[in-house]
Amino acid sequence: MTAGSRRRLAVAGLLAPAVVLLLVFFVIPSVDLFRLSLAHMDAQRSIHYDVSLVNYRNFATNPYFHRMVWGSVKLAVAVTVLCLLLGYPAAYYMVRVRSATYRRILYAIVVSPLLISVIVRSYGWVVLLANNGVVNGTLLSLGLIERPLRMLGTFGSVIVATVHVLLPFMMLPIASALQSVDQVLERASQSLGASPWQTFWRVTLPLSMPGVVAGTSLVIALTLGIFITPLLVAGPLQPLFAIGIYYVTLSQLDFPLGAALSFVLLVFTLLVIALAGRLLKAVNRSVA
Amino acid sequence: MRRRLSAGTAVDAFSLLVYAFLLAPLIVVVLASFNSADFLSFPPRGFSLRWYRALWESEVWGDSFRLSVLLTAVVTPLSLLIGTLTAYALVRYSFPGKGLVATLVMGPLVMPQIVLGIALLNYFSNLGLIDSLAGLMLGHLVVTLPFTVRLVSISVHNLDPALERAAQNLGATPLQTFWRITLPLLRPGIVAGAIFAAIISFGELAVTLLIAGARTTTLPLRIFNYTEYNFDPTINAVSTIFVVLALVLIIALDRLIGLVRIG
Repeated sequence: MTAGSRRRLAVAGLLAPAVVLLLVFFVIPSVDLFRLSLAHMDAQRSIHYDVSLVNYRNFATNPYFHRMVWGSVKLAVAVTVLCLLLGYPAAYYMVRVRSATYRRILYAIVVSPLLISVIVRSYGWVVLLANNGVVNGTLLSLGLIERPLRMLGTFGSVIVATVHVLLPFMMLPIASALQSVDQVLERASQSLGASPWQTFWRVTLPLSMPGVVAGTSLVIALTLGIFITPLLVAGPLQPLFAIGIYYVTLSQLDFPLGAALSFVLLVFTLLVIALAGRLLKAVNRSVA
Repeated sequence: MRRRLSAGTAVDAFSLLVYAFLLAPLIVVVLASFNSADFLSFPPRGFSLRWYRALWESEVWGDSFRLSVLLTAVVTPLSLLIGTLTAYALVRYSFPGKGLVATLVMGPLVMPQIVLGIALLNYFSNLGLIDSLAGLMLGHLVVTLPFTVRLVSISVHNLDPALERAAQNLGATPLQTFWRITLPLLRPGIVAGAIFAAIISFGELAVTLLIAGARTTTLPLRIFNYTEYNFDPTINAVSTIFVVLALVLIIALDRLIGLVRIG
């Protein structure tokens, strides 16, 4: 056996378990799902595996689904803007704080939500926003309101809880980009007479753009697919794309339609990621 | 100078509010778990451990807890084994189709979780794997694999190939080299990978919700079912366990590879 063929054998052996696992339990199920999306269900609820676009046509023409798409787009825009507005200053603060211990504590606060089940984080918002929850209880006891505000079930509660769940995905890439910004450049800018604001706008922000683009695309992609959090704070009738897929498949049991909707969501998500990838390349080129 | 100071202070204050926002729902759940009232109430009625006792004595929560622990205990080592082999091959060797394999491995992370869940729901229905331990195990394996591969890859990158060559030149067999040199040097990445695999499997709900059932109600799934249909304050006590677990693991991760590098 030559060294080359022994090497090939080693690589094949190392990769075989992962490739087999993912082929059988990721690729084939996805291909099956696509086949199912081209099938249709008759009035007796039996599935016919023909090749038709009836489910996709249903998606394109049914106003119910348009409302879902619009809801998800609105959510994605609101969540992304809020994550940027909250996340950028907080990430900047975390990276530039003097004390190393303090910085580690802040990193722990950002990373720890990732280690806690999404159900627990979302449930925390139920405790905060319920009619007899913490926010209403505080406002009532301060005499600011007379009866509890209805917050759970509203689009606003979905926005707040989703921002909370996804904020770390915005902050960590921004923090990592800010960390690699050479502070000598900032000092140079200031010593050449730029104000702190000018330095931030003309030097720091442009240099941290790769992190902003990476975080933004991650948050948009994750918002489009989020369903546990909105399900918990706002119920299964909230007009959002991922909840619609869940509802059509598990309540209406229309598997072919659920499959078609899944593929539409997948294509949207991949488009966002692809677009962000190109943008990231362009930004990296301009930074370098 | 004074204006600059005040702008800086405003950013600091705003940032602290953001960190408070990140912590708020977690702190609230922990505090609520010690509330003696038997409904959701604020301000709390009094301090009590009754929900922890209720949790300890409850058979259904116990079943779910044991199931989740069992699932995590099976998924973590398997995900770690497969992930370590994959990370080693992807970082160390170049071969045709490498990009394709790398994309495939990260695939489950890119795919929206609802889509992955629906795909597995359809696939497992035909195989009779819905509401089965085997089905959950396979689903969690697919979900955790990208994380184990990524975290072990960090350590493989840092591993100097000269150390392995030196061992072999001194007469060690490839297997001895792997056990005595490679594996110990990969330890930080492997332990971090194990922590992430375990925490993801233990807390997984998106895919679980679609492929589990009445006989396989994991801990997160039971929390979900309870919040949907009734307000049982025991949920606060269960959730606190998740928060405390995260606290312990975050310290471990910081010691192992440093939190800054996870991001």
